[in-house]
Amino acid sequence: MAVTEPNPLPDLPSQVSRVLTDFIAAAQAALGSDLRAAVLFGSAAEGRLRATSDVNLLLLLGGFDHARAAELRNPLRVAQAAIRLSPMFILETELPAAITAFAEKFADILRRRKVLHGPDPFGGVKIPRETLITRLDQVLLNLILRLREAYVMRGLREEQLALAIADAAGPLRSCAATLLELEGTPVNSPKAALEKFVQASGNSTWSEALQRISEAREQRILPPGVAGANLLTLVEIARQIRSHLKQRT
Amino acid sequence: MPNPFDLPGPQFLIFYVVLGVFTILILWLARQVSEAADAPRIDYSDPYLLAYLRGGGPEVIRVATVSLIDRGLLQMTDDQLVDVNQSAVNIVRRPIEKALLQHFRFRAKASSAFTSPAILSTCEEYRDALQRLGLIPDESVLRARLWRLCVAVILLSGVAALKILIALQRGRTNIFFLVLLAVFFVFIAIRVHNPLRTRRGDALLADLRNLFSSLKARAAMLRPGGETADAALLMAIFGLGALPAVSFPYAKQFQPKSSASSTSSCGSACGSSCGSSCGGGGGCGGCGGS
Repeated sequence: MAVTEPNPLPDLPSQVSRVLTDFIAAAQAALGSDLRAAVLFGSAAEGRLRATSDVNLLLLLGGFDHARAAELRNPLRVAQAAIRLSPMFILETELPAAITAFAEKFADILRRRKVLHGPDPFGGVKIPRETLITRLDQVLLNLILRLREAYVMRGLREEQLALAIADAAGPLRSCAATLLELEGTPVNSPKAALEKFVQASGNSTWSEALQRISEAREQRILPPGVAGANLLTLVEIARQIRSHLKQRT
Repeated sequence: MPNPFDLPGPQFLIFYVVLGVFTILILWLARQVSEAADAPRIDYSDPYLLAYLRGGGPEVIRVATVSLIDRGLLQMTDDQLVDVNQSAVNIVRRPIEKALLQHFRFRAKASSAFTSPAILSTCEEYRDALQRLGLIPDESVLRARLWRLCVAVILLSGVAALKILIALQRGRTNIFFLVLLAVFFVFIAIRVHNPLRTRRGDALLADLRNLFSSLKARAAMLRPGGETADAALLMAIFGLGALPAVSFPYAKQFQPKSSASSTSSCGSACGSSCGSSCGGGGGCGGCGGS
């Protein structure tokens, strides 16, 4: 007979909810008053977690006491194994600089977050438009370079290309969401944002590529001969987003 | 109601089969009723504790050995192991890891770990911890199980013996099938009466398998190297067979010869003596292919 308990985070699978709740309790016990807030972000916050998704958690700290943090080692390793918990330990004093330095990532956190402990640290946060444009351009450029590298380096193993496509999906969707926000037409989710962007382009090959992204994320493999062309389509989409971005500046 | 001992041979055999099935069922039910079934919440961070819960002492040794090879602290050549660095014993934390590294200071057969008293004594700590939590049977549970077994065996063998005696007195010698049935049911009773885990232990293991189901689902993507606890927890909860052979080719050599022997067979053979003699006892120890 398995343990049955009410799911404290009903948007998430019960195992994820339970492990996450246990980890936050362990973080509260270990870090004490240093733990100012715990914020779930990414697909888990959106309630669209896949079996292969990481569970992203931001732990906002007043200070990093190494002895206290060490007490979190075991709970973190268990949570990492059970639900792929990926924590970010960030100090309150570092938050403004991090928001600027990783503007695109934090734009995604602003869009998709769920505060699990403490007050919402992003309540009144607004990322400067210029900063966001600059950082979005960097992220897109980096994504394009990484995808090209994957095409050449991993191209002889199609399953590896499918993994590269699956890994690129999140950043590409998030970039599309940020672009639409900058254009004043925000949408509910990053996935919907990329779909809207592609739909507006009227390119049927791109629409097909989006379906393949979902397939790659779910099954980690694509039909023979598809992955290479699909990856190059993602590069084209990323370049097009960049091109739109340039028109905004 | 007719006296069953007056029944003719074939009809008595049917009566005995019913009696045997009923007795085994009662034996199983008595254990289900007498042992609590609620799964406790425990600290999951020690994979070796979970490995003991799943398969006893030999599983702890298997999981710890493969884990140390994965972390690069033990080196395997053919069926022999040796530590990679003499100081490694000082950096590992768990007693079983220290014991294994000390054991393999000098090159030795991998299977020798299963008979090392120093290594086996570290497994006893896990046995004691699980007994305290009521996850594996303690002395009182074992006594109760043994008492129930004795009643079942006395009933099964007593009824058979009495019928055989009556048959012989009446000059009939066709007792072979009855002897066969008696031996069969006593054997089943012995197998059923004392599994490795209590009901509570079974419930916790089921809960663990549910909680870590996503780890099993992404097992094929696990990377060797020991950076995370993923491989150790996967082995501990689901067995060495859950590790991807491509990334962990050496793990195959440590798998029990049949997966069943690590659960049911080991459970019954070593349930009452794990820790002290489970190193290679009951056919559940040893280093599978080595």
